[in-house]
Amino acid sequence: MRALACAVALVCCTQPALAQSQIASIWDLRELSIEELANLEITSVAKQRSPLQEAPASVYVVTGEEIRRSGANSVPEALRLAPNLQVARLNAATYAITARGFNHETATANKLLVLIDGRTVYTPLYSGVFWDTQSVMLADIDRIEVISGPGGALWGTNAVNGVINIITRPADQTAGVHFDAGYGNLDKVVNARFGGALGEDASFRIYAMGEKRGPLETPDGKDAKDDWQKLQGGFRADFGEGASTFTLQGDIYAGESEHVPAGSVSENTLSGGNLLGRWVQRFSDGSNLQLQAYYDNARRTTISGITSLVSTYDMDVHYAFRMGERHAFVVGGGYRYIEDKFTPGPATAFLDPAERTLELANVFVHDQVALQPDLTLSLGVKLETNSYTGLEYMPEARLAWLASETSMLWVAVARAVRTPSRVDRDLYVTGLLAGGPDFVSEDLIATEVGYRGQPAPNFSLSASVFFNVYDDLRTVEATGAPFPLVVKNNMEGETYGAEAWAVYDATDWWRLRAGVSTLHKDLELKKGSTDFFGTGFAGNDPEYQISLRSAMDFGDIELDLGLRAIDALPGPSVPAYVEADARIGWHLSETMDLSLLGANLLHERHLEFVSSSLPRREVPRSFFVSFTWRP
Amino acid sequence: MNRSWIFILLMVLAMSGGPAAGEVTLETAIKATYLYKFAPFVEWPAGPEGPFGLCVMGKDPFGDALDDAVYAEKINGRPIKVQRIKSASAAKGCHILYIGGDHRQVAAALNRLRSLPVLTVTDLPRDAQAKGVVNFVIVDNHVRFEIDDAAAAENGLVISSKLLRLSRGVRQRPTKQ
Repeated sequence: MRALACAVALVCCTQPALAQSQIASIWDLRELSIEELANLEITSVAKQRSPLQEAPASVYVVTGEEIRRSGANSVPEALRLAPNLQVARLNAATYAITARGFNHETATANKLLVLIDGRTVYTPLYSGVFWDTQSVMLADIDRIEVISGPGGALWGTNAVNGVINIITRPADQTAGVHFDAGYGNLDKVVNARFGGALGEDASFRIYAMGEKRGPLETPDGKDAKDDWQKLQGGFRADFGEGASTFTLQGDIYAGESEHVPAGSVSENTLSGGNLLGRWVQRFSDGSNLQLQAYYDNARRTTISGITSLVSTYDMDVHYAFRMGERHAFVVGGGYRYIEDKFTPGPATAFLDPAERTLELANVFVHDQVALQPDLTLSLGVKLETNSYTGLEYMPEARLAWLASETSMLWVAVARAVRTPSRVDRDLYVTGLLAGGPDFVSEDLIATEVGYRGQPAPNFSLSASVFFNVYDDLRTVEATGAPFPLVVKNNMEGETYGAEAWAVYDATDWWRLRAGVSTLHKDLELKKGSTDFFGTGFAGNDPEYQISLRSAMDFGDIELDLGLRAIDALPGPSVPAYVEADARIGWHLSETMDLSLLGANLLHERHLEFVSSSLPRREVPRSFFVSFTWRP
Repeated sequence: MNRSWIFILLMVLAMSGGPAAGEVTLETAIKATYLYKFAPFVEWPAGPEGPFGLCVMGKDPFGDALDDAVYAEKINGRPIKVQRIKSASAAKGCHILYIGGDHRQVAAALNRLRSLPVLTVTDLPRDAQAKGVVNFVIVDNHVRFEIDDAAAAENGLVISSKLLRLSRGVRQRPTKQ
């Protein structure tokens, strides 16, 4: 390797500047001579590339800048930017979001693991996410990593179809004042943040945000009266800059629906808070140790009188180290303790027992082996125990081959598991549903193949194909004639599809993005099943999704356009739709920006998702004007 | 050009379950790699044996990238030891010292390190008053550096003419010792 570097040094002066695309990591830079380092060109594309985009998995990284350019003013709307996610809005507060299928509102997409700064935010009630609880100040988001495919070996249970990791910027990158306010027919939003230094090597920020969302419209254009509002505040502090760093962050929030229909027993409210601490210690041999602990509390009430309260205590430790020249290990473990209390309303379903504690504990080991200079094998397994089903194992193997200096091929096989939630095991409706005492974990064995590369300096492409084999998917079986029904695992089947996206810099002021995803499902009931609802109940998914985005810069003006086409949903049926967004941004001065967004412009209103338990709501055409001030 | 060890260490970072520590831009990765590559072009006064000290003081922009850059590398047969120090008094055993932070913090640190046999490296704007023996500059989308050979002389260091030629701006050392 050294000899080669010397030989190259002789020709360094005649070589064209090596483009960023040819460098995969610091391991390449080590091999260069000092003259070659001096000849490397750093372009703006390089600054936006997150190293995670080079992982042997189907990963789309939504950067903070991409979110800003899209005009999105909430987390679910920002997630529409990931071509490997299905995002559908049911009403002002509810979204159905999943990857690779199984979007289902009533039991909601339960195969996705969602984290905010390392804190898991899916609810143990049904293993899904209440998206109205998850507000994050978008201006302080560094990036959102969207991984489609199983992540069990790394992330544990529920990372069956994908992982969404929302990462905020460290406090020292959010110094100063940030204020933004926006007004539209669907959204009224105010965000304020102040950040600064805490002594020599620490920094902090505090923020407050208020949002009013909705109302959407009924199919005949009337006000759906599903508007709601929320206030949230929080802080983050980062201590230490060298070998030892500590982060402390927390949020509290409270929200409620604007309208209470006549005859309601109670109101729709949500409230809660969380506190997280993380300590990272870097050792002189290059290894590092991370310890994290958090507490999360979430309370919800509904108009039918249901109250739910979930408290989560979680602790995790990871240790990353090298062994020899070829192995990079990460080992670790964690423990989570969840207490929940569920109070039913009159004449509603109820959980039995009403209060439960769930414990999850896991250990994992992961090794990344450099088999050859251009071939890397990753092997990992996570062992997890939970209060319902005991021990689960989630192994994975990934192989990455650097086919050329600008392209990588990868293949992966993994097993992931969704452990039972309260709704799977403990849900009763008198005379109709008698829980799921025999419900076990759903499991997936996924095989994926992918390509990621940069065929030209201004063009990057990522594509993957997956084949998923599911077993023990939830069914609701008739036991009597037919009631009561009982929850079991009598569905199985395969899904397969492809995901691809490309980024093309047509000129240095014009960037184009395209994304497409397809999905085909072949599910069937097991022999002897008396499932009441049929295989369609597992998920209501489109067979294809296409998106196109354009971002243009004209000095102080930005013009951003987006187009998306989503296939029809089979049942409950939703027609296919095409919609478009347009945004103009003005950089008024060093400290002020103005933005005008027109969303869902092509139709007066359109339907995205239907649930049998919620009234049909459609997303109307909307506008949103926002002003940002950063003195 | 041949690639060599292409570790996809990013999966390692992804696994931390939280914000991936150590993600750096190409620009920062290049600077991290430069640090130990300066060593063959510099002569330090004779000193105690032991590992070659590569230190970072103040704000560390490199993180894991620096540890990865020097992993298993040696300078003149000596292993490289990366240290993150808080103040100039801990700079014993540092052969190369990168000083991060704003220009006031850097100026104060450089003051305390005057005449010590340390190759100080900074990353400040060209017009900053106090800079290290080596200061990174971006020239035309390339990461380059300027050298203050007079300051090197003050610290008892000899910088090879090869490195001086490669730099973008040299402040000459006095011709009389």
